[in-house]
Amino acid sequence: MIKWIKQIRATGGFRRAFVRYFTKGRSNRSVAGTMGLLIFIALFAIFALFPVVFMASNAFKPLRELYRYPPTLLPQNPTGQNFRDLLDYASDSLVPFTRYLFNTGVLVLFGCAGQILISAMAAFALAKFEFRGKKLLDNLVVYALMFSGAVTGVPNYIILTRLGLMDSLWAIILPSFASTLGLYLLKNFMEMLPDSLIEAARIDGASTFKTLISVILPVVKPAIMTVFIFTFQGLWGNTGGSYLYTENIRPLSYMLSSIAASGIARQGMASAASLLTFLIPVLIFIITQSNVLETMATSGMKD
Amino acid sequence: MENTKKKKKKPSSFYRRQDRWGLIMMSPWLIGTVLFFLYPLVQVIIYSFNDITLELGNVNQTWAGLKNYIYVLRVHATFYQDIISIFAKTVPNTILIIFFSLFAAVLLNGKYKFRGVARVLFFLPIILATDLISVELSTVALSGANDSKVAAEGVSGALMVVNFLIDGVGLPREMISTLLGVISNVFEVIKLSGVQILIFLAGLQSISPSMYEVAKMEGATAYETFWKVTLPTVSPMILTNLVYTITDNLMRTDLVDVIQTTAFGQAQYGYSAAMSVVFLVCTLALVGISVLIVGKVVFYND
Repeated sequence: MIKWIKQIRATGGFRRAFVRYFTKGRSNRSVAGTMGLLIFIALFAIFALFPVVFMASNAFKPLRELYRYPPTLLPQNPTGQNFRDLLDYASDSLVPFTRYLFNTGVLVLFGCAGQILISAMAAFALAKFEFRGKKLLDNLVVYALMFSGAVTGVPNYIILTRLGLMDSLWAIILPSFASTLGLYLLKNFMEMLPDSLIEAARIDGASTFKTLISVILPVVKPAIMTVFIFTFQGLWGNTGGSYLYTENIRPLSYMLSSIAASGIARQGMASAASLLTFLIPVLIFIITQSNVLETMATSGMKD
Repeated sequence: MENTKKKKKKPSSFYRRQDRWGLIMMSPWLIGTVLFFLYPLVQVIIYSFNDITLELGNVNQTWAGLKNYIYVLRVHATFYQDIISIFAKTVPNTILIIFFSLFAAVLLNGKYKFRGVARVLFFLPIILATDLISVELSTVALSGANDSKVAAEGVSGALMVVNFLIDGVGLPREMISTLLGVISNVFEVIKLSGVQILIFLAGLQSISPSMYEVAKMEGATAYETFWKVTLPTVSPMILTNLVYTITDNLMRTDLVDVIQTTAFGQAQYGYSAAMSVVFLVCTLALVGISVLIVGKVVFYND
């Protein structure tokens, strides 16, 4: 405490010290500016945390309290019953819980790896290569960005049927490979890389593929991680919809959403389940976030 | 949004090699796109001019001319109004989301205490935006009301905030519907800006720290640095986000559900295809106009 006061004195008044403390003395920002930003972050934090707290507390509410109106923020009689019910349900169900988990694992693993690799290859070509038809493909990427699979539902269904992919996890994984958002993002980043980086790799005898894997990808790691997060997010929440109809190959999210849809008596379980579905992506993000936000500005070059 | 870096090279053997490699690297994505984007798109356009029946995966088409379009735009009870109201809602939402996410990303990119915590906080809405979780949240939270779509927009949370403002803070009870509207909008904007924040953040990461050093040494304030250094450098990302935001917003509307149920629920594949085409044309027009406007101010650092 005394140390703090001394420090505050040394930095010239409380207001200065306050700014120094929160900005690590980096910017020339004014006191009012810093205060404003902090208030903004605090407000945002409240709005972002609110639904999460609500969801977490729902998971511990007995059924009776779930239906209270107006809803209460914190459970009055917290109980672990919802989680016990969920455990019972999972161990009793026709298809073992681990099977759903395995399916989701396959979906997420192949989906993310494939999409990142394919997008990175295409982005590299579009950003740094000159070839015939490049202009056309460039435009195609931009146009494809504007469409979503939702509107081409019927032909997509027919194509997947004809390819014999219906009712297999590939029906979800393969179309996701054609996604454009990741490609577009990676392309934007790779365009910012200096050409000399690629030339250096080429002079050292690296093949095109090798250049991509060991030179380009590490440099654009923040972008890759960003793509990973939203690909993961998309696949994690995918219930399989009308493409999967054998119970054996349905993903975890299907099981969880079917609990939620199965009536009032199961809502306690459903809120426990949704807390669990929520926690896993949060964990993944916390693990990757230091990478997402790592600076790539130097891009390995010294001018 | 086109690549403005264009180098005129003479066709040498090196150029031809690039030619080959470029196409090889593109091919996996291209195959996917042709199969799952271009071909379905052409099919939808063809379907929209035909009467379609499905029999065991076989498609029977009979030419119907503009019949489907006339039905969708003239006869269908809600489609025409829906499409207008949805676009009217998407425009202000998009503007709000872009500004908000840029601001948030700049904040998260700064160096201050508890930055890691702040970043996790900003990431939470992306996960909440997943359909699965918001649906579950809504069935639990608003089980009294039947309209799950309303609940998914975050009304359940907004309801509690409003309750607090009226009972706790003492705002007049007459303001309840205004407050509810404003606060659920805040929830919605926050929920839908997760990916945009990430894209902006990734863009901010690519700004060389030496640019900031120079700005700081020249005595630029944080405000000036933002306008002169940060904004021009992330401006290509604004375009990306603009396109993504408009598309994402439109894809989350009820209209997509209408299109899906018309096809898979009512087996009216022709009508559904015509709706899709109208929807796509409107999307393209909206994106095109906004890209034209914003594209003028995009700065490329060549």
